[in-house]
Order: sequence, then C-alpha cells, then structure tokens
Amino acid sequence: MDRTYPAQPAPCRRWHSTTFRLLTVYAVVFSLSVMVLLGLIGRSVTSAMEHQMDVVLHWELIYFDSSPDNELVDAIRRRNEHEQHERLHPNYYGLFAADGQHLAGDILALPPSLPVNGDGMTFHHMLTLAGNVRAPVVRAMAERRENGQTLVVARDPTDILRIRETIINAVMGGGLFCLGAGIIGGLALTVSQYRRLKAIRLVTQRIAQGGDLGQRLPVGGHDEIDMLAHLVNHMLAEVERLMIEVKGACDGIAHDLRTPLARVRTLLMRIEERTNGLQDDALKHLVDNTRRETDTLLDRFRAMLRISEIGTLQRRGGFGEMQLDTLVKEVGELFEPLAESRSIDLVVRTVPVGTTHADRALMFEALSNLLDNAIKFTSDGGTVRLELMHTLSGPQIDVIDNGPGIPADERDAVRQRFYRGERTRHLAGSGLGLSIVSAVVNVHGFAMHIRDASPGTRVTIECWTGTLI
Amino acid sequence: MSRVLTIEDDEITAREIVGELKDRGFTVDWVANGREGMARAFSDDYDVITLDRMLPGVDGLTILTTMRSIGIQTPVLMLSALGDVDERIRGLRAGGDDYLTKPFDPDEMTARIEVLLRRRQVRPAQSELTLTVGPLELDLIARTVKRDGEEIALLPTEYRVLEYMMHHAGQTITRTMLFEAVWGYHFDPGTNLIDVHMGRLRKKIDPPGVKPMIQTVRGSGYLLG
Repeated sequence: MDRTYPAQPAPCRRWHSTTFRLLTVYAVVFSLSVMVLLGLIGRSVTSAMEHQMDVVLHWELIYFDSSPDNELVDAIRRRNEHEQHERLHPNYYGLFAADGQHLAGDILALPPSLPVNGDGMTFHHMLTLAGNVRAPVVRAMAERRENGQTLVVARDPTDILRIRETIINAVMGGGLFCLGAGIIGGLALTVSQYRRLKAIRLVTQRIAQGGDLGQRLPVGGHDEIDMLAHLVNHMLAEVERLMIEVKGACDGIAHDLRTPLARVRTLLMRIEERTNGLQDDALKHLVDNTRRETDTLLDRFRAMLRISEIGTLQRRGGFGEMQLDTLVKEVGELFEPLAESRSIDLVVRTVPVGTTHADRALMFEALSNLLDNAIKFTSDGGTVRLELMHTLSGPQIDVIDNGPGIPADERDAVRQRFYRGERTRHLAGSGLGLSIVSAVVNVHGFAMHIRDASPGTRVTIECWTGTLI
Repeated sequence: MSRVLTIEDDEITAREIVGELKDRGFTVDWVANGREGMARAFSDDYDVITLDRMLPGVDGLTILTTMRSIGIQTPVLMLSALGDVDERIRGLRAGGDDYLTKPFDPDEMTARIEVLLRRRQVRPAQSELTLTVGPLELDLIARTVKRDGEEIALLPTEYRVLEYMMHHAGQTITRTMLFEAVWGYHFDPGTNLIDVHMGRLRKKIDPPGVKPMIQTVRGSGYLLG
C-alpha cells in the first residue's frame, strides 16, 4: 500500500480544471468578439455619417453654385450670420482665390490635402477657423468655381460622433456585463464541478486506500459526470458482489478445513502419547513430522481467517486515541527475550508523538508480525531496530533489520498472501505475516513502505491517513 | 468428580468435547438445544458449563444472561465460531467466564475448563497478600519473589507471568491463555515467543540442581507445581 497517489495539490490546482480552462477560452473569445463588434459598429456608423454629411455638403455647394460670382462673398457672410443666429448645426464656409488667398467665410486657410473635386474629407485639428482656432473634427468638401476661386464647405460632426460614441459605449458596457456575468457564472460552475469531483475523489480514495468496496460515488447531477458515476457505482456493486462471493468461498474453505485439521492434530497428539511407550523412533519421527505439518497448515488457515476478519473490523469500536510510544515499547519488551535468545541486538527508540487514532490491539498485532519477521530473517548476532519518530505529517514507525533484505522486484510481492522470498524460503512461517500487517495498515488508512536498509530491510508504517490529490 | 454440562448443537463438536473431557476424568452431560440446555443449567448441578454461542431455540447469550440474573454462578466457557473481539467482549459481559473460538485445540479447552473449576473450588481471599507454591513465595504487595527464602530478581513481565502461573498452580496453562492474561491480546503471537519468555523465567526460578517448578506439557503449555 505504497502511496503512489498524485502529489498534494497547491490551492491553485483547481484553476487547472477543464471547466476553468474552457472559461478562460470563453472569456478571450468573447472579448475578441466584442472588440470586432465594436469595430464593425464604429466603422458602419462612421461610414453612414460621412455619407450623410457628404450629401449635406454637396447640397450646400449646389446652393452656392446658384449664386453669381459677385454675390458669393455676401452669400457666404449671410450663411455665417444665419448659422450664428439660429445656432444650428455648425457649418463652416471659406472662399479662396485661385492663388489660395482667403476671400470670405470663417475657414481661414485652404486645407492643402483637400481634393477640389466635390469629394468629402474628414479633418482632425487641421482646419483653421476664424479666431485662428482649429476645429477638432470636421468633414469638408471643396469645388473650383469657373472663375478659378475655390469654395470650401465644412460641417462639424460632433453630434453624430457623440451618438456613435454612445452606441459604442452601450455595446461595450453590455459586452463587459456579459463577460463579467459569464466569468462569474463560469467560476460558480467551476466551483460546483470542483466540489463534485472532490467528493468523487474522496470516495475513490477510500476505495483505493482502504479497499472499501462498499463505498459509492455521489450521484445527482443529471449530466455526463452523473452518468459516469452511475456506471462506476454499478461496476463497484458488481466487483463487491464478486469479492464477497470469492471471499466467502475462501473463508468457508479455510473455516471448514480448520475443524477437521484441529481434529487430526488431536488424534496425532494421542498417537504421539501412545508411541511414547514404544521403542520405535522412526514412527515417533513420522508422527512428529506429521504433527508439525498439521500445525503449519492450521497456522496458515488461522492467519487467512484473521486477515479476512481484520478487513471487516473498520466499523467496530476498537478504534480510539492511543499512545504509540507506549505501544512500541510494549512490543519491544515482548520481543526482547526472543531477540536475546538469538543474540540479536533489539534496539527500541521512541519519541513522544502525542495521541494517534488507531486500534491498539490491531497495531500491536501488526508490529508483532513485523518484529517477528525481522528477528526471524536476521542472522544470529545481527541487529533489529524498532523506531518511532515524529515527522511533519505524523508519527512514523520503522522496523529495520540487517538480514538478507528483500530484492526490489519482490517488495510488492511480499505483501501478497503466502509469498515467500527466495532468500528466506527455508525459514518457517506461514508467509502471511506481512499480509496481516497490510490488512491492519489498510483498515487504519495508513501506509506501509518496504525499502532497502543496505543491508537488510526497512519496513515503514506511516501512521497518518493519506489523501489523494 | 467434576460434572460438566455441554450445550452444543453441532454433533461432531459435541462428541469431541465429550470424548476429550471424559478422557480427562470428567462426567459430561450433553444437550443439543438451547431450551433443554437452559433447563439443565438452571438445575445448578454442574461445576462448569461449555456453552455454544449460536443454538437452536434459545441463544447462548440469552441462557447466560438469564442464568446470571437468577443468581446461578456456575462457571461458563463460551464456545463460538464468532472470533471477533466484539463478540468476545459481548460474551464476557453477559457473564461468561472465558471465551474460546472454534475450531479449538481440545487441550486448550480442557486447560481453560480446569482453570474455571479451580477458580470455583478455591476462591482466594481478597486480602491475600502472598502466593505460595512449594518453595516459591510471591509477595503481591512488595512484588517480590523468593525461592526457599532466597529472593529472585524478576523483570516486570516475568513477575506477571509467574503471578499468573502461581494463581493457577497445578493446572495446565496454554500459551494462548498466558498471552491473553499477561499481555492482554487475543491473537496468535506465533513462533516460540511465549516459550522464550518462559525459558527466561525458568532460568531464574529453576536454577540447575534444584527440582524444576515449571513443567512443559507437551503440545499444550506449562504447569507450575
């Protein structure tokens, strides 16, 4: 149960969600669309405005065309006065001699770039008016009269520009509002999706870590995720049903075989008692071997049923706050004579780690199995260390021996039931010790790692509940 | 001769229990259903009862609770296929004196029955301050041990093992019983862990040249006395 889950997330991880990415793309596309829309509106309004003004200016020129050359100056003056009197839409006029000299009107200088062919042109701060001011924006049109004079008419488009600006502002404001509403809605959707995925992840974690196939993914969104959750739940129900069937069959076999085996053992004990009166060493040896084999079988069945039983203990009341340091010392004391009998140096080191939520009896059993293994696989005169330390994440227990070690490619296999390492196959044991430890670690939601101790093996139990992403 | 009542619905198990106990010199009555078992248990004619947890008619726990509620204190050894710690606790809380999970080693069962019988026959006074078995003397207050008047230095675990053995002197104590009583855990400690503890205690209690107090009962456990 090595935790090979993805690393713990930084809080910003949620911004890497698909929903958030889609939201970002949506915001960019929407902004670009609004900008293009604004450009099109601006262009279209400007073009219509210019066309409209050109029509007006053209009619102005037609009006002045009807004035004879000698009355034109007066006509321009009257137009100027009329404009000022009526405070109408400001129009500007200018009459220039063939050499460019100003003859009449409030346009004082002939704009050099203005084509004198009746086509309109817009000027920004270029048209010099009476009082030597420059009009901010004007649309101007010029024509050459038959006497060589140039008549310029211009019109201030400020009002129309203001309308254009209003339209653009309205569109931009509306666009920003839509963008903001879209982003807020998208964020709300992201958070909602994130919460659903988090709930699904927590359940998946419980299944992956604790092997609790009774867990089901939350449903109720009526969308694609919901559809997948229903499918996964259906699959889990099917897997759970199969597991229960297989487990039931295995447990049944183990249980049913244990009873006759226990009887065989009793019978063998009786035979052994009777052989004590005989002088038949070969028979005694045979009976003794048979009894030992029966004991091994019984041990294996007992361990198998125990593993199965441990798996069902998660919901029982054995869990509570306990002192790991006291427990570690207690296990150390239990195994110290066994180590001493093999001249193995058993070093127990603990630090205060506060209380841990665990099942004391199960943890004692797990540590007993680990120490039993470590002592069993260490040569006489070797060293076994049992250490409890405090890490940033929580308490950690290490059982380290300097025995033959477990090759890297066998470290996962040793957790499987009945696996016996190549280097230790000759030693007695059911091959279920680490499976029991695995079962206990699983029930707690802790993690176990098997590493090389160069030489030997280091088994680490991380006594804190791990989480997925 | 001690009388044992076996309330067990499984015929094979019952035959095994009856056979084993008769071999050890007990008089055994067997009943296969809860109702009849309850009636026999209420007669209070037995020294010890082996009671199956799951029975047809009346459940084992009901028999036990009813017995205790009307004041029948016959020691009861619960036998059950339910090995979970919760079940064990439930059985003991209902008034059971000991609990053994099926399938069991017949020697283990006999050893436990003998302990229960002894407990019934010899009720130690609460004020008892010392335990004496032959040359061994254990002071419960000072927590010291002497053999032939000579003090023996024991480690705390060794002291607890010896105290338990002296409380049950003359009886076979299995390794599982010792592990449960001294360490308080209910699983198979495996290998020869308990033997090593006993070996260490033996070295201190039974030095060379004196009559050994601790005997090994082959295939079963130990006996002090």
